[in-house]
Amino acid sequence: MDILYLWPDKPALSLFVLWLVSSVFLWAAREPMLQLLKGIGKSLEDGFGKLAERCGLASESVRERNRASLLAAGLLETQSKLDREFQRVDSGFSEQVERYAGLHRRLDDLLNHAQADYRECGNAPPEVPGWTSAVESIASIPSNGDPNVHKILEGIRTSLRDAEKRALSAYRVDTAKRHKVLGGMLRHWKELRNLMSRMHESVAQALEKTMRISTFADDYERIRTDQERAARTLTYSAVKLFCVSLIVLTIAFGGAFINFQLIALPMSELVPAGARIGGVPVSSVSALVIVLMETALGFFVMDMLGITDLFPKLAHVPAARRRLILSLALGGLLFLACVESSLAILREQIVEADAALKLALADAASPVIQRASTSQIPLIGQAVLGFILPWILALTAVPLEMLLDSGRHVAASGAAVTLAGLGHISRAFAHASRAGASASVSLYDVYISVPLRIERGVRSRSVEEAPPSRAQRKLEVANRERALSSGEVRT
Amino acid sequence: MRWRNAALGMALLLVGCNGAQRYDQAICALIDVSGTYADEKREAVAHLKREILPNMVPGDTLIVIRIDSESYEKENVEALLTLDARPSHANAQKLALARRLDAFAEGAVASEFTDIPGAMMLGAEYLSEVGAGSRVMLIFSDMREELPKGSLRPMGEREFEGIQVIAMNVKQLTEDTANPDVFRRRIAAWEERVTARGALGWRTLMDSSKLPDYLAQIR
Repeated sequence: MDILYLWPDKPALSLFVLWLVSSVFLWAAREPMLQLLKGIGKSLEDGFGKLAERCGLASESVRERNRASLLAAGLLETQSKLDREFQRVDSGFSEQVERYAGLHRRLDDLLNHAQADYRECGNAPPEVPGWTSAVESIASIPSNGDPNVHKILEGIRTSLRDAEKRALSAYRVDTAKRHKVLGGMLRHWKELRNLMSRMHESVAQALEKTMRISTFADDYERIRTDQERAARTLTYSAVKLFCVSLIVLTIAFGGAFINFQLIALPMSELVPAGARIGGVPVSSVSALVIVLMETALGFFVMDMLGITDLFPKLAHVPAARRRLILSLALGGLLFLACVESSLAILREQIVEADAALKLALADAASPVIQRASTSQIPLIGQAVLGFILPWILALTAVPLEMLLDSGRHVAASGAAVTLAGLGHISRAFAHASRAGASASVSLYDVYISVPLRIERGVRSRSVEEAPPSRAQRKLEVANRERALSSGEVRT
Repeated sequence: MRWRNAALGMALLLVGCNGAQRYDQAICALIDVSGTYADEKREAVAHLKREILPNMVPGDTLIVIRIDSESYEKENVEALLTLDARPSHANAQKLALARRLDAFAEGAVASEFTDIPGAMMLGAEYLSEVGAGSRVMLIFSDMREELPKGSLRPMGEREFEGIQVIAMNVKQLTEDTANPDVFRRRIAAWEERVTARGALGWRTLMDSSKLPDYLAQIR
């Protein structure tokens, strides 16, 4: 501030002189300065206005493109779902049709068996009508003391009793045979009932699939017809997917970190422990590489199983080669899981060896814990964790694909919102520039108000002193005449 | 041509990643066995075993030099060890070194004079030969120099270049207790002498438990 003072011991005078000089200078430069201020205001307003317009257009364009992309993705997804369901129905139908012939034959056989059994149940030797009662009547005739008649009648009675016994026995045998046949039929009925229930299940499954196909077809139709609503639904769905996959991936990242920590220490036994790459120990880098390899193998496994589609080129590989790649990836994962498991055991041994070393090097006075626990649970737990974690890491391909798919739409939506916000801010700046330019013009005049007032005073006096010009005289005459015609002079 | 460029790029990348920077640490411990400090020998060895050996990692080096009347001699090197790259082997080496240090602590070695500069020069030569990423010189002494008649120890201008010098467990003598300024002036004189000959820094530590953290910090 002191540098501004012309006379440092007289600040007030210095400031007054400065103001005086500056106001005179600014008064002299008033016209170009006002033009400059207005020009700057106009340029800023135009610039911000254009920026707002561009941002709005860009936002709309991004939103439109994202909407189209969302709809296309939704259509594609629904189409693929439909295709998948149709494929399932097709394969299921072929299978069912193939099985239907066998089922039909089996049903025929069972029914034939049941019919034959039924027939067999109905086979019974016909009884001679009235024969038993005739013999019984003859046997009941009185013998009248004739021994020959008595003997004959007794013989008839005996044979009648024998015949009754034989008939009863034959009846029992027949009944047992029928029961046996009926027991055989029971098995066939049960089998028939099972077949019928299986058929019922198949029909229910078919109906369920049909319902699902119908739902997908409805979705497809809705996306095609009501695009606005479908876009809104798909945007919400994309945001939800993005959040869910982000959460799952964060959890998976935690798992990967634990996995890394589990094998970083024992890796120092396998690779040069002192060496470093970019300041990071080689053992840590190796552990990280193993964790990343497990994740990469998981990508291949998931792709080959048809769960994800991270490598579209692999989708066109023949089934035999797909199986080969899948086997290799699974084998690799198994191998790495075994390696990790053994490294986890090695880690425990290294930790124990370190503790023993510290104990050996410590003074007797130092309080060193001899051994925390003799339990094998930590060792087993680490080994199991080392085996399980690679398989869990392999599953990260699914949320990663979801994140990539949904992240594109979420990022586009975010960009559209940002651009729109930028447009609004630019518009506000354009308004502020216009108002600022007007305000600065007024402030400028306020600053030079004294010389301006003097200038105006001088001008008005010179106007009063100067003789009226020809035009002024004409104007005065015209005014007077107008006043006379309206009667103002009289009043 | 394109392949050659790619190979060159890969080579540069690898060199850039691996770098010329070394992360191993070489520690040279000078232990005074003369006069008043002879009683502190066991304590110094205990510090080494408790605070330095367990925290050394594969690739690190430890040199132990005895300070006596004529310290600038190869015979004064009590131990020289570079740890193996495998942690299990390194542990075995640490145990073997601890046994040697125990033997040194139990030994009845005492000297009349205190040739601190000679031991420091010898230690600096060893440290420079190892060429580790960080080099540290620990001095367990009362820091009072007493050279035998006729001994000269002219230090080079860059004698301690790249070396961090730490005076550990400096024993205060009777005159120091009577006037702490004497002790402080002696330590300040050593600091000036060492830093003037290119040392990275000078520090005195009374509490050895702070040593591991400090060594990790300067690694």
